Amino acid sequence: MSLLRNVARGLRSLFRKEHVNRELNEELGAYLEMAAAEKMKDGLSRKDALRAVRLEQGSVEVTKEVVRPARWESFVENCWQDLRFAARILRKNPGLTFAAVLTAALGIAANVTVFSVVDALFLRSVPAKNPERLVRILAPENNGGGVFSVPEFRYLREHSKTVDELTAHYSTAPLYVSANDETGEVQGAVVSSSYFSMLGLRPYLGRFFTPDEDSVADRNAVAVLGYGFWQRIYNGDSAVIGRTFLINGQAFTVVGIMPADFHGVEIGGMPNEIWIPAMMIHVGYRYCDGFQPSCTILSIMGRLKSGISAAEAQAEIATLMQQLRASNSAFDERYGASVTPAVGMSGNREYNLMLARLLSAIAGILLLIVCANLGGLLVARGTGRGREIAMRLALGAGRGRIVHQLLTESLVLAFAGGAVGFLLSTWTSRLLVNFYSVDDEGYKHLFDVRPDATVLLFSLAVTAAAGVLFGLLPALQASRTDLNDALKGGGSPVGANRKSSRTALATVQVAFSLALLVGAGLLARSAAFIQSGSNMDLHHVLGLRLPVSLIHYPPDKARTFKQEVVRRLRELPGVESVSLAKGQGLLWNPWLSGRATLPGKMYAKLEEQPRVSVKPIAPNYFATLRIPFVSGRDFNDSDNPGSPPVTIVNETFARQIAANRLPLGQTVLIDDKPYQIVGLVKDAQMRSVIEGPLPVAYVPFWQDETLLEARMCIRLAGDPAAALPMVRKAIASIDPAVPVTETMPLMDQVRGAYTDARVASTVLSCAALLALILSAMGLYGVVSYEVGRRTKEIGVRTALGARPHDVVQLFLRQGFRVVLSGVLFGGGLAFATTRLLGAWLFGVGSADPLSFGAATAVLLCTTVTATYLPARQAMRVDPIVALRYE
Amino acid sequence: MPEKPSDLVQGTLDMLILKTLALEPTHGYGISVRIEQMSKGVFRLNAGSLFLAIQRLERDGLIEGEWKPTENNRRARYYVLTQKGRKRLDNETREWGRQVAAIARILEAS
Repeated sequence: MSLLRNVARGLRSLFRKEHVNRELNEELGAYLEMAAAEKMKDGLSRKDALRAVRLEQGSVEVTKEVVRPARWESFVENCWQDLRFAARILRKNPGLTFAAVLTAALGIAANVTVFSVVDALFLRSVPAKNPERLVRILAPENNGGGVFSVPEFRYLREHSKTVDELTAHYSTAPLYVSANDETGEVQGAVVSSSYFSMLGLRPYLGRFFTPDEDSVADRNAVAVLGYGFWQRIYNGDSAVIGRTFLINGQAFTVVGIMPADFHGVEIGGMPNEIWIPAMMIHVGYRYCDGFQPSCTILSIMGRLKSGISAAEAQAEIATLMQQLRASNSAFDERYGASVTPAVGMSGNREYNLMLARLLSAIAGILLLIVCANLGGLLVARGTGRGREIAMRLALGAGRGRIVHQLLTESLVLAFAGGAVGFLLSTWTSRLLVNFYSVDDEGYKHLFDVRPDATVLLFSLAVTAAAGVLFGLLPALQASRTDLNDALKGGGSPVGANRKSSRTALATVQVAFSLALLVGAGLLARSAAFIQSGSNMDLHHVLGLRLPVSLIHYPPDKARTFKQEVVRRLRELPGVESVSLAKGQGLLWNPWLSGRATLPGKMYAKLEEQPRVSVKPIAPNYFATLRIPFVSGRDFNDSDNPGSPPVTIVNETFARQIAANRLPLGQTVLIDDKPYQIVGLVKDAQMRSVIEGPLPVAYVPFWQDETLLEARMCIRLAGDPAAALPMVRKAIASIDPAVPVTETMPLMDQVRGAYTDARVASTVLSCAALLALILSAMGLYGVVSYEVGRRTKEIGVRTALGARPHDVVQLFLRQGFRVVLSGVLFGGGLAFATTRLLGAWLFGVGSADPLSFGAATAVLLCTTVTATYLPARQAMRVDPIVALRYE
Repeated sequence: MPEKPSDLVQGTLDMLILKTLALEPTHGYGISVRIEQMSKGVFRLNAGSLFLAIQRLERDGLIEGEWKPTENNRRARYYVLTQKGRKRLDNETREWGRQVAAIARILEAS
């Protein structure tokens, strides 16, 4: 109550200041009058009585000054006064204000941008109505990804007493859809019916599927469509409810439309556009039978019952999984489970955290440089305002009051910069997250970087911290102004410590800039190394996938179709060569899928045989990817199912399996089947360039009649992306029903695979460039300020016969001192910190002389120029003008 | 005045004001006169600290002010003890008594 009253009174006196002051006046007046009246009773005249009272009580004004500041609102009043004064001061000097606000904005924008991405990756809750108690339940990692099978999910749903609304979802189902005369691949989700209630979703139109529709395998072919899909394919026609369309060749009935802003539960996942019941998993997943205990593909979520902790739920789930295994050995052995809040991305957290830490460190250093820069600017301005501040001190303002005033000014600058920076970051964070929005298979991922409350709060905190950081030193220094010196009007009321703090701030900037530049150089070299690959060239190569099994092609039809595709594509203008390879993406981590050994070599156990990667490819694969032959021949049309099995191996294979003897013509057993080695190629490395070469045995694709699916690679004379429509048309002319998916220039695939390296290198390069500009500006400021301050001295020196270049040297020396100490500090700093980059550096050491040398050279050129330009002004000082000015 | 007025013991001013107002609602000058009289001139209040304390007590809701005409037809703010103020006064009086007794015991120890 009393607090409320206090606030109410405070507000009243804030807004009715006149009135409240009048009341205080009147009350004090009455007090004095009464005291005087008392004295008059003793026979004093009224005039003498008033005088006596005033002598006793001190002046009314002083009393008022004692009473007034004790109220909290007078602090607010002071702030308001300072604020208005700060605005006035800053308006008076628009150039400086603009530069300062812009500098602050860039530093703050960098931090907010990085934080927005961190927020989007790690801090956002799953898009649910009440996400607080939602959890992800992860199976132990022993069978990848933390996923469960349908029977496991059913068992947990029936038995768990700690988690409500247990929901299974498989949210990365590429579905081949034919709807309303359009066909294409759409990202779908296979979900249990509790999905919708767990998330608290309401259908935009129609309904969601019911528990009954999700109870019998393969029975209810119903689907909920995404709002975007509905708009795109059906033009938002509400009559679509009840209509059917095809998913992977099977008819589904539309029952409802999702709300517009819902794209699935995976943060940073591929946005879902179609939802089908978990019981229809056969349509959504083809690589194992979704109802088998060992076919683990489902992610599980749920809502913790009230009063239950994640740890309790985790213990229960682990026990249940053990019971299940004990009752039926068809289930995989599981050790424990983990239950975590449904916040942030579900996979790859550790990995991305490492990147997030690096980016935050970069942004933090940039902010330090910005603060040093602004600090220097404000110290200089504090010097210029020495007389004003001295006057205020002389008139009785306290030190604290001066610091308060100057800090208010820097906070005004910071918040103006923060506002601009925040706006800027909404754009830059979208740029940054773009790096993540396409993966190495060409699939789009959705990250929400629209600023939320967390980001806003972070921006405010960073802004306030920056304002205090760059404002405090200048404010403290200005408040220490020596009254005598300043008011004597020497014209240059500058203490030595003030000059040295500017020099120190400039040095800090140069040092940190060098550290950032070195880091940027190292990462750029590393990223270039990773993406260069070795013994292959993916520029001008287009990749695509023809998943014929989606439309149930039999093997022989698939074979003729693909042979026809190769033939047609080869005839297209601009196409240099065409080939295809089986299965995994061209650049995916090579999978050691087979065993290989020389005949006659005995192993006690199969597992002891060396593992190799076996890769079925069509002829011209090496020509298309420009992998050089060492010797032997390529596969050709006569390597068909009837002919003896042949293989082409790489050098690592030859070294490891064939004991380095030239293996041409030799027979090798791959998975116990004899192959004759007909060719030897160089170790082509793209994906694994950072891990070292693996042994690879290439086998002819056409020799294996069971192979259905393949990824095409097409080498073109020009831009591969531009040729895509032509390629699509050619394939459609053979069979328009075949889906053409995962189309992308292979260099884009490389870029997608090394996103983190590119993000780190790009961000660091931008930060380093910015830092370079800022430190050049800082140095320019220091030197040009010195020149201005010492005009009189220059005049005297010149008058006494100093030559212009002597004078210039005077200032150059000062600038160089800053640069040199900055480079020394920065070099040491870089040497100490680049080790921390270790995990990001491939093909380049953390003490790489080239990066250090180049960074130092760039820094020296820039800073020397920034010193020289203002120093030259000293040459133009006219001694007569300079001396008369005084 | 026989002796030089002495300073108030730290923190007792609020209690004295509350006590004065408990006897009879009065204005600022009235409070200062009463305290001086009752203390027989030992305590003399300065207007600055008096009004600072009044302001504080009023904000805390221990006293309430109201403009009223005085005997000689001026306007002055008269202060009344609130319920809460009375309670506070009781507490402080009791606490003060305890402390004084304790201090006395220490000083009288031999």
